[in-house]
Amino acid sequence: MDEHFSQSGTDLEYRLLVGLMGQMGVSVSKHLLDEHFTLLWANDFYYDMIGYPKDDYETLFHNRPDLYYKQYPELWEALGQKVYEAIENKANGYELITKMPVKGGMRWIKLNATFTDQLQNGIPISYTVMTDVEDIMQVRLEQTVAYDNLPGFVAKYKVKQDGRFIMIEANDKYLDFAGIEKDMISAFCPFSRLDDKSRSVLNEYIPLMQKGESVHFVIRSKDKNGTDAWLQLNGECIGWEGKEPVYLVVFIDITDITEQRELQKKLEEQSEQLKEALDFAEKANQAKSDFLARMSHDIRTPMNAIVGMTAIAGAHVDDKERVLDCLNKITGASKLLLSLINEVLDMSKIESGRLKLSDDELNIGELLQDLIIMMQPEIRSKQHQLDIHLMGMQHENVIGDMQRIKQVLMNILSNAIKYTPDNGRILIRINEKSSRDGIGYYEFVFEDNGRGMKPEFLSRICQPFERADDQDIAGIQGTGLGMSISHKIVQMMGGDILIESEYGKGSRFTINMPLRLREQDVPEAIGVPGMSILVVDDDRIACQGTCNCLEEIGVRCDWVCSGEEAVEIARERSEKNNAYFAIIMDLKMPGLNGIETTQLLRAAVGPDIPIIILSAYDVEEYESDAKKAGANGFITKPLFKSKLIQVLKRFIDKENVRGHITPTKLSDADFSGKRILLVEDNELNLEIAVEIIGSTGVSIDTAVNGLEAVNKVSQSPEGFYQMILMDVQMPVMDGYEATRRIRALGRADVSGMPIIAMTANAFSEDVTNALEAGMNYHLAKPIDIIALMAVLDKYL
Amino acid sequence: MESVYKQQLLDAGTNVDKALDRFMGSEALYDKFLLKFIQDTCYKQLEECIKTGNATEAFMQAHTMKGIAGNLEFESLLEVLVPMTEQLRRGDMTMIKEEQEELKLRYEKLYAVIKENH
Repeated sequence: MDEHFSQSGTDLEYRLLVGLMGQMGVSVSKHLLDEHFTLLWANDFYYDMIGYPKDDYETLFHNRPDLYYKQYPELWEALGQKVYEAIENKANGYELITKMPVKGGMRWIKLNATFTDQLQNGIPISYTVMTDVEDIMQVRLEQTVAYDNLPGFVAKYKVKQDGRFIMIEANDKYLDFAGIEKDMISAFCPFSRLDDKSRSVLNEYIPLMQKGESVHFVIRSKDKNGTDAWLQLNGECIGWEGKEPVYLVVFIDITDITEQRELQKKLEEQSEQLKEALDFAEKANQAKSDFLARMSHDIRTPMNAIVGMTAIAGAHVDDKERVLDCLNKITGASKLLLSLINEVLDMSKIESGRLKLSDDELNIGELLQDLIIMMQPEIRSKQHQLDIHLMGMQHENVIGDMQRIKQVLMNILSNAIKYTPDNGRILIRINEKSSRDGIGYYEFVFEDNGRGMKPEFLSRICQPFERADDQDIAGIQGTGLGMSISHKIVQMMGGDILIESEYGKGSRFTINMPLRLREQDVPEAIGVPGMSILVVDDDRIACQGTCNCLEEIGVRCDWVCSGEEAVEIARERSEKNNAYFAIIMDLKMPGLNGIETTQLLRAAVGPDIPIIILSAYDVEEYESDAKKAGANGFITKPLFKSKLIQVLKRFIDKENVRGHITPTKLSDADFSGKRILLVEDNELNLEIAVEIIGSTGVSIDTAVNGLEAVNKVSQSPEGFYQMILMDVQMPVMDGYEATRRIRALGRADVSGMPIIAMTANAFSEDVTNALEAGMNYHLAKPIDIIALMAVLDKYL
Repeated sequence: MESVYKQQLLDAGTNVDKALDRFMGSEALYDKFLLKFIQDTCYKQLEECIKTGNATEAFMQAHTMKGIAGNLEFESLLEVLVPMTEQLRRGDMTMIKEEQEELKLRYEKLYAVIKENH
């Protein structure tokens, strides 16, 4: 016993008690109820318990428990809380089981304190008895939270009235998950790492927990590493502290299951997608099978006709009429078959991406003229009226796939002609909308007043094999592939086709096509001052188009819409000695037509003014009549700038004969409106020939070997070519063979068509060979202008 | 076409007047094709065929080139090409090597003249 104690009567009793208690393992201490909880006195066991000898305690902590608890503010807080609560409630004391820091660790201590009304320096005194309950606690802990074998985390919480959770205990698994230490439990804020959805779920259950009901739900929380985990929360209320329930909560990690579930969902989605893809593939396959079936049928029909007709012809060889009839039918069926096969091959190429668009140098005006000429026979047979408007064409020379562009335009024009009842009207409008960065944006519009299409068909028109379901057109030939191919080709070029139609009223097809620009021939201003030209056409817009063209090359221009007016105005001008330089006249006009007008004009103004007939229609029919009436030349519509210049130049040059160095008669010749096929294998030679011969105004088609020549002739409409200039020495098929084959084609035009051999050999045997093959004449190479002129003159 | 250029062509063995006749007096047109001639591959191809000893192919090339030279009135080239073509037609390659060398000289001379004037 310490001699420092103040001695009083009661002290002895305390000392005895204390000694007894000390022997019992109980610590007793006397404290001042100040803010330090100053220790006034304590028994030996007190110091044993905390592990600091009395002297040390005094030196280190100055007998101040608050200093002792310095490192454990939460524990001190809890302790102080307890004390003040007790005082507030005017209790005699308090009891608290708490973890107390001791030297070398912590121990569970049970504190029992009694307040006295003894005062020291005015401050009340309290006595505290402490017992070590570490062992008991351990056991209980082991009992309550020995769940490390469980697959989940366990924790004990108190649910406060304000909805907060105070964690009381947690097992190692939990601690590991949350990444906290055992001693941080009371300070830990549970459920702080939930995601928003889980947070709201928890909030829903808090009221239930405050009533002490058992709860089960799933939350998602992040662990100490930030990884997401799905936890199934199972809570049971195991006790109450006042109004606040204490819950034991078992968490089961169901992340794997949840992940599995998500995975399963993804798999299901994929499976769905695969199924859709399979469906689609099956449908496409079905479409292909349908296509094949259709195609086989469409091929077999004409094929059968050919076989049948051939057999019949063979059985009636001597019946000329019968045989001719069969041959005609065979020709028709063959043509149909060929076009079908070509179309199917095209479709196949397009679908497999093998269709390559070539880069040809082409002139849009020429291309259109060719197109019109090719379709003229059909137009004529249906007696359609054809109007062509050319607008705003600044750039005629472009780069594109000539064959395919012709194919597309021909397909659409052909449809317009086919599906418009006789005596219909077809309008073709060509427009250069704009151009920039070396690309011109062209618009081709084909409008007709034909049958039109129903909306349901309109939406399907570009699909293969679609033909309208209509009694009326069932008789019209067609494979149903044309639009599909055209559509794809235009798409490949970077353009599109817009289709408008009204059933019973008509249709309009608008093709937009961007084309790369070439080096343009600069349109020379060939206008001579005082020179003016008269344009005659009942189609106002066509008149204006031509006049714009003329004005752009510096030629003044007047226009009228009827033959009568033309005669009037031309006569006036001539009388005033201000005659028109030339007259450009449309062929088909109501009232006086082009030919009649020409006759009258000649009577009115004499033979000198060149009259050029401009027509969308077949030249053949009207040529002789026009020439007789006094016309000087023919141009097929549309009239485009370069052609206009070419034609006018001829007439201007005629006037200025003295300007020429050498009298080359080529420029005198005017073979405009004629077309020849020039066959030559060398590119450079071909160009030279085209250049030289072309200056006469004749249109020239080319072929680079005999085979191509034969093909071009056989695929052309009757009377398309008026002459063929054929090189002899060529690869693939030479000129002799080609001539033989051409003569053998069953056509009307080839029997009388002049085929002229061009060869560097002038040996007589070559001449003989040429004649035997069916050639009319023989021109030596290199080209001799005079000889050429003579030949052209003779045969054209 | 400057007279210097015309003279050079003459010196290289070209009948300029006859050529201009063919091209309707248009010097511009003739010159356009002169330029195209030196850009054409026929000469190179002829050289190749001769090197590989392929008489048939060489014949076609020679024949073609003869045609062009004729149109453009390259008399100096024709002098060599005409006999060359006939020999190749028969499959006779005996004199070809010397002829080829002569042709090369004349071709290169023409080439230089035209190139210089563009």
